[in-house]
Amino acid sequence: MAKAKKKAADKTSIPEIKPVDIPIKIVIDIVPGTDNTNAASSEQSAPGAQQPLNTSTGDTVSIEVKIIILAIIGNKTIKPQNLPDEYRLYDDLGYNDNLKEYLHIALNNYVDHKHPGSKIVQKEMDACSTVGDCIQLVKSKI
Amino acid sequence: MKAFILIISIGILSINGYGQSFFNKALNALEVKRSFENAVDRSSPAVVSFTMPAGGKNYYTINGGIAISPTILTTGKVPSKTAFDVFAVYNRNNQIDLEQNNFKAGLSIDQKLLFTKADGYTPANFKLSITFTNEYLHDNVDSVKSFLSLLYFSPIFRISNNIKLGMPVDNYKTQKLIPFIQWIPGIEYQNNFHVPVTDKKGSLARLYMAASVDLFYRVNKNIGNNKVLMNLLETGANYTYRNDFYNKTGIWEGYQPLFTYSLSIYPFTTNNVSFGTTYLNGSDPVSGLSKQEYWLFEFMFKKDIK
Repeated sequence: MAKAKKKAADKTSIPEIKPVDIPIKIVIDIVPGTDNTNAASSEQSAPGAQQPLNTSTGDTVSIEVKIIILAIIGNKTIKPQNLPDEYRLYDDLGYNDNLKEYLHIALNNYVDHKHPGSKIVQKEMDACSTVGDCIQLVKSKI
Repeated sequence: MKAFILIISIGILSINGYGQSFFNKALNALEVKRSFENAVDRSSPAVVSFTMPAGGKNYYTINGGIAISPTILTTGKVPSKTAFDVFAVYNRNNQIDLEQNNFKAGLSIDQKLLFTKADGYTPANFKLSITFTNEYLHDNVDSVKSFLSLLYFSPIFRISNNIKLGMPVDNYKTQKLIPFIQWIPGIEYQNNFHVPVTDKKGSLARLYMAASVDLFYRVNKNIGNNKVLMNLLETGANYTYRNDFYNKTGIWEGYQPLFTYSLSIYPFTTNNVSFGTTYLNGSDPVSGLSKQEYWLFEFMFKKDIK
C-alpha cells in the first residue's frame, strides 16, 4: 500500500528538466565597406581557416586583433573598426620585417592571454599577409 | 672558376626534386643584408659594384653577408622574441683611396621587447630592440685580428602622425612620400689581439650613436591585376658618431664621424632590389673602413627570412 502511494506520488511530481545545448551563431559585419568576396579569399589563405570559429567572441577578437595590428605601427589615424580585413600588412599598412616580428610577439602574447599555452609558431606568422589572415589565425588558436 | 662550380651546383640542386626542397628550405632560412649588428645595418641592403676596364685591373665592391636565424618567443607583461643570427660578412672595396678588405663572422643576439598596457596584451607606444653581437674581425689591409662586442639599442615609438622612430607614417596606403627615421645608441668594445705593429695592440671602447633618415618616393606599379604603391626613388642620409672613451691601444682614435648619403632607384616590382649611388665621408672601424671620402655607384640587394 505504501509502495503504491509512493509510485503515485512519483508520477504526479514535476519531471526534472535537463539543460539543452542550443547553438547560436551571430555574424555581424562591423567593417563598413568591406568586400565580402575579398574577405573570403583572405580567409582561405589564412592558416587554420578550416577550423570552426569561436563565434561567441568573434567580434571582440577581430577588434582586439585590429587594435594590436594598429598599435604595433603606432597608427592612430585608422580606427580599428574601420580597418578592412583585406588590408595587406606590408603594402597597405607599411609593415616591414622588423615590425612584423613585433606583431608576432603581440599576437602570441594575446592568444596565450586568451587561451594559456596556445602558441603561434613562426611558420604560421609568415603565412599572415593581411589583417584578415591575422584574425583567422588568432581565432584558430583561442 | 669557383664561382662557376658553385652556380652549376646550385643549378643541379634546384632541378633535382629533393635538392629543390632542400635548396628552398635553406634559401628561406637565409638573410642577405649589408651587416647584422644593429637595426640600421639590418635594414640596409648588401652592395655589389664592378668596374672592369679592358686590359686593366678590375675594380669592385662587395659589402654584404648572410645569416641563419632561429628564434625564441616569450609571453607575459613584457613579451619578447629573441633571434640568434649566425652570420658571416665580407667587405671588399678596391675602388677607393684606402682599400677596404676584411671579413667578419659571429653571433648576434637580437631581443625585441614589447611593453604592454594594463590589460596585459595591448602593445604600448614604446618598443625596444637590444642587439648584442660578438664577432671576429680579420682585417687584411693592416693585418689586424680583433674580437668585438657590440651592444646597440633600437627604440621604436610614435611622436606624431608623420614623425615616428622605426615605424611607417599613418597614411601609408595613400601617401607617396614616406619618411623612415631610425636612431640607435650603443657601446662598442674592440680587442686587437693580433697586430703587426705593437701600437695597435690592446682594447678600446667607444660610445656609439647613429641616426638615419630615409625618404621614399612611391608610384603605382602593376602587380598581377592590382596596382600597388611601391618604391621608385629612395634618398637617405645616415650619420654615425663614435668616440673612444676608453683606449688602451697606442693609437688615439678620438671622435670618428661617418656620414653617408644615398640616392637609389627601384626599377622592378620589388622593394628588395635597387641601383644607386652612395656618398661616404668618414670612417667605420667595425667595417674596416679607414677615414676617407668617395662617391660610388652600386647595385643593392637584400633578402629577409620567409
